[in-house]
Amino acid sequence: MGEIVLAAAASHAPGITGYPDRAGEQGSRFMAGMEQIHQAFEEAQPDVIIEICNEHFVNFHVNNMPALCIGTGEYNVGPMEPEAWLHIPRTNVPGHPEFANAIVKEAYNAGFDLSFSERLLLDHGTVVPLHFFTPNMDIPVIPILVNSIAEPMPLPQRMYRLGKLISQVIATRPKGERVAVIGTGGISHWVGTPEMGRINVDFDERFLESIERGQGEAIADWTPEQIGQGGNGAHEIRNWIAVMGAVADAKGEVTTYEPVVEWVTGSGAVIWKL
Amino acid sequence: MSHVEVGQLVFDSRHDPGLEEAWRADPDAVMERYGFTDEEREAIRAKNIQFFYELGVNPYLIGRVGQLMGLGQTEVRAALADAAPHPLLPTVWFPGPARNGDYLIRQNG
Repeated sequence: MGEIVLAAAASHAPGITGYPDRAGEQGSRFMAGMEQIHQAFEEAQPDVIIEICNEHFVNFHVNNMPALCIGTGEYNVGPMEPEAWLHIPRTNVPGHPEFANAIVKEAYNAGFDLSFSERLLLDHGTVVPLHFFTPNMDIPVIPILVNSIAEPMPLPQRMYRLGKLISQVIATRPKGERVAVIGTGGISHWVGTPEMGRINVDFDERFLESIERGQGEAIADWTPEQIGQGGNGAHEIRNWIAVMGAVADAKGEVTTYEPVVEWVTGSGAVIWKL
Repeated sequence: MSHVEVGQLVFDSRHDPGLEEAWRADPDAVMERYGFTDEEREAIRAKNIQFFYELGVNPYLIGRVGQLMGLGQTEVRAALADAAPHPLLPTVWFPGPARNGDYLIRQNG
């Protein structure tokens, strides 16, 4: 069987790489937390990364919005943002079609009708955390995009169960296959609303403390209204909840949390050492 | 015409550099192609981002609508300060004094 050798989650605000200097010492502390996860990747040497992130109207618009879409292609392309702005060169990030299709098939068997795409455009959401964790972008990545941007959105409980499904598929994989599971996005932030720039520190701390106590299933019971206390951008914590399902509520370790107003995001990162 | 078509223009402009060039050269022609109403065309000309927010354009696309109008993030935020609640955001948003510089919420202290 395969095994999850590492799990992690991190915010993916474009300012993290786009304009890191504006965050000053907060930014430096955040980068140090990301570097801890990078080192863990170096030690764990995963063969493949399953990355749960949300769509940002890059691949899909409201005329065709899947709740969940997995990238099954030989590669996916990103970031779509200009290098001059995001400071990450565009590249073909390798995929893992055989593994990704195994997830799709098992999902169908389990009652999850995942959408799939053989060529996804990646954006800051997937690429910013990868830039820190695997700077060479040479480890195959299976992206799973979530609709957490347009109502109605999949329930957090559904995301938790998706994570459990992913762990079940990993258990069926060839012996010795080493898998990293990561989730990106959040934590509190307001996107394109009058409150843009606001950060709910209490919300973020409550969320991170629950992760440190291994209470992912309880977080998955948060209502949309509760999640909304962290702004419309907080709905991206669905991506982290899937990771918590995959690691069966193992206790996470917060490597950094900084409420960075300049990045308009409560910016955090967590690692699960398994 | 609705938030769907406005959003579609934004979505398309991300993928088609030619569309953005066409917008810069002749926005009226592009608005004609996408079926903008007279009221929406006037809102574009007036850089009235609040109008499109209240129309229901997804907040994740509002910044890009502002870019097409030539507005930066700070200008968009300022322009939305007095906006009515977004029609498609049913969840709670803690409206309050962020616009006055109080960016960090600490409900417990």
